[in-house]
Amino acid sequence: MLGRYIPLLVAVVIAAIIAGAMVVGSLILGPKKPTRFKETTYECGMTPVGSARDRFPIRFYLVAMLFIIFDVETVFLYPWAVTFELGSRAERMFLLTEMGIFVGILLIAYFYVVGTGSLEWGTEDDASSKALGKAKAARPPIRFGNENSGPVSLPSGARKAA
Amino acid sequence: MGAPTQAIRDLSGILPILVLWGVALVILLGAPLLRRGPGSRLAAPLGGAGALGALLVLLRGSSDGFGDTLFAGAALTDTLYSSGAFVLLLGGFLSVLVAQTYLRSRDLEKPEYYAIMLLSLSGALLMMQANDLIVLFLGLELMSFGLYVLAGFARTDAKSDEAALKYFLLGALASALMLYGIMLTYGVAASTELSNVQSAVARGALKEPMGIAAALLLVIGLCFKIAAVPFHQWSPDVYEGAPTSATAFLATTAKIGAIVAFLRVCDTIAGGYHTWLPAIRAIAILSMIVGNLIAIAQTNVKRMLAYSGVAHAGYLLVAVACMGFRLMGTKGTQASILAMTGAVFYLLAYALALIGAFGVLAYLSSRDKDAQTLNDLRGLASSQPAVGYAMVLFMLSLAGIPATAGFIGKWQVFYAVLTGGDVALAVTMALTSAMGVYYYLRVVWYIVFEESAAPKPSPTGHGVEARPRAMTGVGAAITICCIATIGLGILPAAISSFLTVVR
Amino acid sequence: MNAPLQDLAIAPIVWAIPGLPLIGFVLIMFWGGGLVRTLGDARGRRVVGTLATAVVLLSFVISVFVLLELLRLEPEQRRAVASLVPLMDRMPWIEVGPVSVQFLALVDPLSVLMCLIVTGVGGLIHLYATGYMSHDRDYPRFFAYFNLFIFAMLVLCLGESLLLMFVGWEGVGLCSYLLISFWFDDEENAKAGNKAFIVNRVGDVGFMLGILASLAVFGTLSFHTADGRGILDLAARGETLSGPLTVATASLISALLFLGACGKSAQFPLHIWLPDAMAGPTPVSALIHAATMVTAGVVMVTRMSVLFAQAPVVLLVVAAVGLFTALFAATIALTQTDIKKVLAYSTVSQLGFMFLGCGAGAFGAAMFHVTTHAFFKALLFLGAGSVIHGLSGEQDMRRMGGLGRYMKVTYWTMLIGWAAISGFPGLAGYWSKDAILAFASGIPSIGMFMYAVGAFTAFVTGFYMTRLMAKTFWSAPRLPEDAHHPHESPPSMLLPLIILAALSVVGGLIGTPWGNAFERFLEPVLPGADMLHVHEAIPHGVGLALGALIAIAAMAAGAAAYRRAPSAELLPATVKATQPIYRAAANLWYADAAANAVFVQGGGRFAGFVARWIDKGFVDGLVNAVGVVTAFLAEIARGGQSGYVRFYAKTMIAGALIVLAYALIQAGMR
Repeated sequence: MLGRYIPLLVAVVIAAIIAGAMVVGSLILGPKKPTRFKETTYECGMTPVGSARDRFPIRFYLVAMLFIIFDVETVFLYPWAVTFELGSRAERMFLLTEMGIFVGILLIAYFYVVGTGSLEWGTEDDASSKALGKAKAARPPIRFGNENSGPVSLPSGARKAA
Repeated sequence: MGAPTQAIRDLSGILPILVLWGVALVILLGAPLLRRGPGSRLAAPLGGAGALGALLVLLRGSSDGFGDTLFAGAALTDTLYSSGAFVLLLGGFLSVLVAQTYLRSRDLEKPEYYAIMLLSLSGALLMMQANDLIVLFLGLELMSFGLYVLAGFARTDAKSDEAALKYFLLGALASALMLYGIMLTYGVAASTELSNVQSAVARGALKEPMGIAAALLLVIGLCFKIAAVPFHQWSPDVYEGAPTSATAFLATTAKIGAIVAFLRVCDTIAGGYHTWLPAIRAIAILSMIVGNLIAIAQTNVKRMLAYSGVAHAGYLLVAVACMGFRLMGTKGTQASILAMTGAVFYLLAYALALIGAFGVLAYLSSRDKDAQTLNDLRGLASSQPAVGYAMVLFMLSLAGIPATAGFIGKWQVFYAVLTGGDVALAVTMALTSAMGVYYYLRVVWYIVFEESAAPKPSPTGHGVEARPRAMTGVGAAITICCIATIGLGILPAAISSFLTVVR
Repeated sequence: MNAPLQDLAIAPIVWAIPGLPLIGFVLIMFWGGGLVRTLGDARGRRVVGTLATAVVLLSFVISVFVLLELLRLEPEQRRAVASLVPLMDRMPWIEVGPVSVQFLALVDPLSVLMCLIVTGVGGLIHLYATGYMSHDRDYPRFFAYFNLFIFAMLVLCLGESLLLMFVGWEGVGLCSYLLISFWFDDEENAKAGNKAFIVNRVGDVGFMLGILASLAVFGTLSFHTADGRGILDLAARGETLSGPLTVATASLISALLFLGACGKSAQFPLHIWLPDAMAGPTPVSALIHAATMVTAGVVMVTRMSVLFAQAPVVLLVVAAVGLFTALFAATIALTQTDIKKVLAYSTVSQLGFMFLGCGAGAFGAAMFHVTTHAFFKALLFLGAGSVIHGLSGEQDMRRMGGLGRYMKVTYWTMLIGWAAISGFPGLAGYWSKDAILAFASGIPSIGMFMYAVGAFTAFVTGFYMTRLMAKTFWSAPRLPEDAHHPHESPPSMLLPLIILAALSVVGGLIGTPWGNAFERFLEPVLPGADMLHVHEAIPHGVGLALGALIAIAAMAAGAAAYRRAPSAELLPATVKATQPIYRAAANLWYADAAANAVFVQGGGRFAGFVARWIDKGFVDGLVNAVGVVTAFLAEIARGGQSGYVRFYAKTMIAGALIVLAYALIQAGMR
């Protein structure tokens, strides 16, 4: 009875081989010119080493989440665009209306986001941006670089690695 | 039939959902205006209008085309859906009324609350209308996401945050299990549409391990939503932590949506009852016993109602179990139909009593004090007789004392399961109901026989709320719940035209 | 026997019998307090009291008219249904599938008899209560509950189906609870109310299961239907919905119903609530816990007599339980010092007699005793209430004595009550108790034993009632120095006493062995008695003579014993403290202590155990057993402190695994 599942097993094995091959391949084939910055972890421009309890402005997450939501919705446009070509004239009108409604709802969501001030970053009368300012002031000096941090001092562990 | 005509037909089948979505979008669009100032008074009426509008659209909806499938077999309309939706939307409307007063007195009111409520209701409706497991899952998630947010609506209250997080994490786990079940169903039936699943079951799909696992994972996912043992542990923490108005809403909405979907799913897989019926019977019996027993030990009314909700989930699972009798002769078929009608009536009675009870707690809450414990109810019958006796009535209805709606609901389910010939379940139900009387009566005791602890709270509260609260939304909700609980207890036949499920 | 349902010309107003007290309840509940405030205390109270009494007496008048209408029909045809909702023929109440229950009253000799007792005696007690409760601050609330009780009791008696009867059954239970705890400021009273409610629930489970069993067996809940397919119609023909009625089926249903009757009618071992129920005001004790509600069990058994008649074993159990309770309670009554407690145990004992009658198949005799008992026990309770009222609340007989000269009317009426309950020849109790004993002697093979024990109990009854009279009225006054001067009660309390005393004298004459009008009246509703060939093993004359002898001997013995003890104490205190049998009886044969230990404390511990071990221990323990995560053991060891979301998630997964494993293993075994 388990014979039916053999294709599934094959698929898993193939997936594992491909993924493994990619990792190993890049390890073997890739040129290696390590610098001390390259040795550090890439963290979207944030300091990778330091206290894990550092405070981040909550807006960072808010904007990131909103970005993901709108980004993912865009994905739906692709299959729609592909099938749109295939329909008759009447069906195309129907499909166009449907997408209009979809985009309309997205637009309402966008208006909601803008209207509730979720995208505003730091006007002075905004309570949360005041909190942001406070958080900035309270932050420890930047000890490790990102693109606008100026001269940096590496933590001892990173220097050793270099 | 051309595509546009078909589309119009499909859309008119889900008109209540569209109404909910429309109003929710209007609230969201107007949110900047509704947030503060004079506009803030409009949010609750809009939310109420949304729920009520959907209810009216549902009641006025033409019955031709009933039983047809919509959207190429993705959804359907039938009497199980329409009667369940009636109960759901009525509960939703009452919840808006409770929220209006509670949120304002606790300084939590934001227009988003009502928009999320309406979207959550639409999810539950979708769940009831689903003719496809994927659509059912979509509805479940749409409903649940809203409930997660509402549970954590008191953002600055650590308990509320905790409730939302717990609910979300465990809900995600349950969803994952259920999705896994849907996947396996596709594996055995090569389709997720219920009619195809049914014929696959008839061909014996539930005889192989994958089919068995599929059926039971579906059952488990739904059992989580209705908080049946052993998937119940989230409920006391969530009920306690969530703002009272949100508790009332999530307790009823999740139960109504999930039970109706549960009935439909189990009805579909009735052919393979031998795999899932023992599990449901065991879960039902466990829920009835454990829920009732632990409720006895609670002093927080919200927690007590959570455990009582576990027990009620058990009673409702008795009705779900009746779905398994459908193919066992004429008696069994009769039992399954009776159980559907009974379960929907039970849900109505439960929603009325529960929203009423939480409404009373909301009524007693103010900015500084959130009424939650038995002590907060002490001597209510003498300090505020109307509210106190209303609470007594809701407790009696939950306990299933005759002349209340709760009794009729319990009786109908009882009768259904007896018709099906399952004496063990019926006896467990009778015995555990008797057990439950104890803790409901204890609330009555505190209200009627205990002296009120405070000398006499000033009727104006704490200066926030100068007007008499009986005139507010929650007063109206309590009144409606009271009248309906007694009315349905004495004349259940009055509403049977909306609530009778036919096949 | 299976006469079709008749049409009664008076049917359109039958609803008013229970309806009027309900209206009274609503009026007084919602406007009583306001009325007292606006009209002033004295006038407002008079209006409320008059209204409450008037509706009940009006119900009585209507009941009399219904009786007259019924008497015009041939005896076999006295069976009709009437709507309980004004202006409507049939009001559907519940319609589930093929079962439909409607708000209908069954009008037949049994229900009309009960209506007459409930409204007649009830009306007198209402009148009495207007005097007794006149100083109470919650006067309107009392009468509201009192009217509600009458309503519920009438629904119980009139209900056309088991379900409607059950509604009344629960309703009287609720009112009993409310009225026992009426003075809830005192925690004892509130506790007594709870005890009554909870003990009754035990019986109610039996009744409920009995109802469901009848529904399953007969497919209906109605007693009689127009097409002759009601429960009693079918049972009388020995049929069920499908196939003949077997002895086993009849036994199951009647046993369940009898459990319900035991709860409501305070039969051993569910009798423990009734004596505590005396915590309520005395009119409540008289009306609910002596005359009407506690006889509901007897009424129900009589109503279902045709089923009981086909279950010989259950019938024997009924007789045995009844007889045992009668003797058991009578011995306790010998030792009580609270005047109301004596009467309470006396009630339990008399109810035992009624069930003995039912068990012997003499349902008519049992109902006869219900009737006469309603007269003399209400009289005794009201008399006791008058004494208590006159002594400003004193209930302990050790601080009474010599009251005869202060309250003449109370004394003389009590004297009649005493003679009636003891079975003095010619009075009400004599005829009914004798009828029951005579039929009990006809129980196959153990009839004479039953008769002997019953006769002995009758003797004990006479003795403890004499003791009560001696301690209260005859002996030397033992009132405390600072007590109020005893005074006679107001006329509103004395009038009911006089009427009830008159009824206790002549009430028995409707049921003498010669030309028994009472039996003939009830006979059409008691097909069960016909099935059983009930007979008396003792000839009329001998039975009556023996009964008279026993009663007079008991009264004389008691009187003589107490004449020689001016302090009204027969036994020295040292004997009371050491004599084991006396102590056991005085401690209620430890029934309450046992029930308390087993159910109250044991139940509490069990709930605690479940909360602690089943939820946190067992459910979590299962998780362990599955062994999903071993690190989890540490959490359990730390006390299984719940509240961790990871803990919940593990429980869920464990539960899911168990469910899956079970189903898969089961499938594998198939």
